[in-house]
Amino acid sequence: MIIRLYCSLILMMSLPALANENPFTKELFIAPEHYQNDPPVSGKMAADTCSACHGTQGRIFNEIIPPLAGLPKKRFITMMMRFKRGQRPAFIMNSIARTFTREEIERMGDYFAQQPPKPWLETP
Amino acid sequence: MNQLNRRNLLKLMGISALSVTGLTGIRKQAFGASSAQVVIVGGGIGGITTAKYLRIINNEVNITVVEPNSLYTFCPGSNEVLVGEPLSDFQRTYDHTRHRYRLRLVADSVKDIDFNRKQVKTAGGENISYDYLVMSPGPDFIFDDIEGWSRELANRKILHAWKAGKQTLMLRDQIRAMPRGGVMVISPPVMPYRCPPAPYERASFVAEWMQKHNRRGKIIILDHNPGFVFQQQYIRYWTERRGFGTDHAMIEWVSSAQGGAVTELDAGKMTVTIRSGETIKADVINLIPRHTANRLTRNTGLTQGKDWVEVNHHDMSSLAQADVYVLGDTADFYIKTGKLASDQAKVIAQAIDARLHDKEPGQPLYANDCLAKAGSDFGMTLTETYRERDGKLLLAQSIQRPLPKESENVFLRHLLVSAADNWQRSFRRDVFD
Amino acid sequence: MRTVLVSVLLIGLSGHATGDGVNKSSAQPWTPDSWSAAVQAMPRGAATRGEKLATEGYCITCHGDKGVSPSRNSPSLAGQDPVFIYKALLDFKSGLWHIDNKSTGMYAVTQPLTKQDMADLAAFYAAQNRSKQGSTSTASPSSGPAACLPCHPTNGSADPGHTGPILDGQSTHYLKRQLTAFKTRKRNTDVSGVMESMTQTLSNKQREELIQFFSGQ
Repeated sequence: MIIRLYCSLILMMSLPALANENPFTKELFIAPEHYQNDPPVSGKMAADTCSACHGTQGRIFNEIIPPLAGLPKKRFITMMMRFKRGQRPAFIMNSIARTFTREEIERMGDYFAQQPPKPWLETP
Repeated sequence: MNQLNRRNLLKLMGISALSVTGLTGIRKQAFGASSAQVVIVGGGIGGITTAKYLRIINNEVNITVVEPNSLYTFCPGSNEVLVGEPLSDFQRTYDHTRHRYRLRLVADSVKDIDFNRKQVKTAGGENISYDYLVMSPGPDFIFDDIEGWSRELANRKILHAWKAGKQTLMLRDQIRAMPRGGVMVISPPVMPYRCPPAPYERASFVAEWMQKHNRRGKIIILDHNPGFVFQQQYIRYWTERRGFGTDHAMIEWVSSAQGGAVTELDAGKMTVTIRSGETIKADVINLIPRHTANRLTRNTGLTQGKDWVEVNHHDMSSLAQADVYVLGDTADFYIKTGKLASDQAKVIAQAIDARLHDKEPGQPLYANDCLAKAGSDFGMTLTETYRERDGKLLLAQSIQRPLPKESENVFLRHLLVSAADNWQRSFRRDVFD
Repeated sequence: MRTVLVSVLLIGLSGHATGDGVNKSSAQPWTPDSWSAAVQAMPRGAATRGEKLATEGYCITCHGDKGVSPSRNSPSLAGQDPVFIYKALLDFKSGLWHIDNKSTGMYAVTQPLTKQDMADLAAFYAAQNRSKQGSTSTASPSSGPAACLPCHPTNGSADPGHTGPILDGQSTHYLKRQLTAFKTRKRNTDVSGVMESMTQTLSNKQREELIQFFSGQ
């Protein structure tokens, strides 16, 4: 099924095409509110997608990407909503915040506020 | 409006209602004794993240990881090794992880699976029983699309270096040994393959290295695809810095639309022939093979004759066998990356724990977010989210940055590089720490 | 608006890098003479230009809109001695201030800065209102900050000799990291290595008391 999808994409691309029709770079944005009638994504589920950058449970403290563990809920929500609205310059968080609804951001805020502000792994 | 029925409300509240305990973050509250056996095939990103995240939420379940290698080498970020970073930066043993998360590690490979008896059979002759099976064995490669190529040749001379480790070091040495003004060919296979930006990142890193060490060197990308992720950013950077599009270009890209797909290899003469009919001689030939599902999943019928193992994307459970979960490059998913494998692993961990407590798995979210680099002073980001409905994947957002105007900001360029290096390190830690 | 060409030239001058890409070849430890020369040569900074740079340079993402850091990860800069901010930026850019992955990040973002830029940013942050980020403990430390106050006075203004940054109200986590970095000599930025020497005899308890004292100011 996937191979057929890509074959048809490749066929499309073999025809003369405008630069912005390139399926490999084409921007897609379906507002997350569009999925509000689906079962909700829990705070932990959403927050666990953050750990690749912010650490397990948001608990990496010795890098430039900041920790999230123990952040007061209100502060987390305020920052994420400012990113979501484009009110705060960012290098990726503006894009990422836009993929969540306000409710999802609140649930993540709940989750991170409860994580202990201690490194996931103490380094010597 | 959200479906705030009781079940969903409990799911939402579930984690926040529990106490989080101390440094290890392991829940001390037990829902009830469970000596369930979870067997995980593959100790890579998908397998280890599943083991770790399952242990974090479930103290009782027995977790066995079957993995033949005692040293794991991360593939994400490993292009840096080609230009000087030590391979050891990308390597981990399993000692810390197995002790912290109480994993049973079986140093063996899996030969067969008896789905009726629910047993995994290792090459060494052990039969391991499971209640739930998690398959994260990585992809297999197809070599005979390209006439004159073979697995044996790939291990020895015409390297892919697409599973980081020995071949990465060999390719690095081949690059260093190139003559002045030498040519390197990089051939990305037809999508999907693991880590879509990586061939172009490879070209980009090597070109920056060549700028210092082999000024007249050249890299030709011979592509089975008509386009690529970050195409706008890479081409902009290559145009600015590597003469892309000029007679003195250090990087050339021949797309599939231009007949760039490699069809034949002559390893003796060190030439490749592409679909347009042209034959190109090179000093280093780096062919990346077409991917397919792991042979174990094909031989045991999990693929049901298809290219990839089809799964219910609600919880990554196999459509072919009950109580079997499949993730990573072998599973059916639009894109194949380490980040996605780790998200899939977390979905599976909570799904298995939910079932152990007679609950329904929660709603999944997959975020293929990525910070990539074109060189030591230009970074890019991808934000790509997948949601799910009725077992099917829905691509919700796909955003590639910086846009041309944004990329004029030099501070942003440097900050993105720093952040990209940061994320490679923190990603490795989220898997193994 | 910074042009790409300028940065290309700047980067082209860089030499051999350490494992994390930090090029320390122009990083010279400070002597009293070299420091006094640098202070005298410091350009006059314009706070309005600095404000623009703080956004364009993404400083505000970690250090906050008005220099009050939103995270324990980064220090607050609001109300800091401008000369000290200038020095810090010089030290990050030269690779002299190279402790950990955070300073590697600072190295990256200071590469495009000229000395004028640094002076402008310093003027901007100096003019912002400091607000307490640290603890509110009023316990007086046993070994007293007598050793610290001459260079780090707590009357809310900078030491006229510009010998040390203002520590009042700074994040406890940040203060702890820097004191530890001086003691382990991973940080080698102080003029004549004074901070490196002074922290050698600092016990953990004394360090903790100092941190509580200054962050509570």
